[in-house]
Amino acid sequence: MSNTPVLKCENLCKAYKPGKPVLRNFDLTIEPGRIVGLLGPNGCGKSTFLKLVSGLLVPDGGKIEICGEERSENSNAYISLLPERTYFDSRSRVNELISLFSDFYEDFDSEVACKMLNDLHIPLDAKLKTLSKGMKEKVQLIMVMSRKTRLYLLDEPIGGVDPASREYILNTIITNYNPEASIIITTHLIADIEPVLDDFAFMTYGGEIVRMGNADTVREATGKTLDELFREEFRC
Amino acid sequence: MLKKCLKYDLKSLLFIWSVLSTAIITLSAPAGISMGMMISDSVENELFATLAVICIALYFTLTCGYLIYGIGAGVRRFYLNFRTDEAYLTFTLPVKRSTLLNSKLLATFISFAATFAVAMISILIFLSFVPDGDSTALRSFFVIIGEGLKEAWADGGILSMILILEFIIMAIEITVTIILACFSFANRTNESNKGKKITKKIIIGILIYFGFGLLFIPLMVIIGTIISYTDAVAILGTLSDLESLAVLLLTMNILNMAATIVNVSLYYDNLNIIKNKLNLA
Repeated sequence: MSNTPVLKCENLCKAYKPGKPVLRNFDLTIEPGRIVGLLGPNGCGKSTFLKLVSGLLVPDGGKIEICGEERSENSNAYISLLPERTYFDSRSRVNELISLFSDFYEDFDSEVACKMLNDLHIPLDAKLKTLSKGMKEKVQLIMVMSRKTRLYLLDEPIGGVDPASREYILNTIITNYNPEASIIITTHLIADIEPVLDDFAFMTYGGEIVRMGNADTVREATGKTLDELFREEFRC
Repeated sequence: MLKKCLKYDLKSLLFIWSVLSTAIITLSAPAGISMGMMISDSVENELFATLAVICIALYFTLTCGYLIYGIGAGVRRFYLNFRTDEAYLTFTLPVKRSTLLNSKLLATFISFAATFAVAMISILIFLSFVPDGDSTALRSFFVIIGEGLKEAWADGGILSMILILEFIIMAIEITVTIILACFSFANRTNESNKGKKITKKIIIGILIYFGFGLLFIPLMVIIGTIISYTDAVAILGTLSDLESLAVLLLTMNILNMAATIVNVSLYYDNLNIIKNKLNLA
């Protein structure tokens, strides 16, 4: 297994308006094989960070390295992004999405995708616009997790999914990713996601990381769950 | 990757295009027959007369809508893929942004050319069913075009030159307008040096476009003046032709310039959105 960090960010800065930075000198390094929870209140810059890493936004300053190389258009081959929005063309059918992913991503496993769709009772010939919001989110997650890539960026992966399916999805996340890959998950549903996290980072406004570390170590040291620690840290 | 992108871009345009194309080709013959019956006044039944009028109106409305669709569909594809939530997928594909742009531009031009070709075929079918004396309107149409071209060459080549120039300028104007419209929705390219190069190309394109538009009007005046001093017999006929051409071109230029101003404004508005907010909804 390579020791090169899957993701390395140094002094990352991003502001949508002058003088109001969303991220200020943000540093984060993710080693291979880790599932990291990026947790923080609304508007603290979690989604912005994921968009910067995936190239949807351009940083104002700082450096992003993906698998040891500076972020470029080629980096998209190593990144699998699940945005918080439904982003597929609603006129598409599920099987057309499988064809699209198979065509563009060499690492996409269509058999895995079909199996997961079948397990979640999603018909392959269904048009996306006929599916509920939760079903669409499941389709998106399946597409993203059916790739054997190096870095998965999951923005609120279970936000719109019913509690019964969450367990299956979390199980899917753990079992389907490449062991050399890393996953960054942002969510507010900390209690649900906590069991799958190796590491965590609490992020506050301005993109400052107020606490980070190994999830098990912190739980043992404090005797509290991440959910409880989060509530303490960000109590209004 | 260009092939793959083009495949999906064309595929997304194909369904509605093929439905509309089939509809106007199918409707062109009945509309032509209806027009023929209306011209020859052979419809005595009021119901048939009403149906014939509806058929003709439907055909012309559909043809106009189809032509608008031909230009708009490709541009809409740019908008959907770059300015809505679909951009999350578009910009995370392992494809260079220049390839994404090239593919969409190609798809837009193919769609426009195919739409124009089908509309022409449909109009020719329509005309072939419309009687004109002992012959059909289609035959008369070709006769008129033939005679017009003969006259154009006969007056020393000046009118024919203007006609050719007019077509070239119209083609350039339409091409530039479509490219500008597409780029207006696709200017998320500032991430790299390539993006900056594309931006420069757009600005050069705008300048060339305005240059052509502005140059052509005085050119028409100069040509008109030269003709008025050369052949007194040809003055009346040629000048009237030139005037109508000038009016047509002036209208075209004004429309295209208005479209360009809108496109350029959109372009800078988009830059502002990208810089200050998220480009995604």
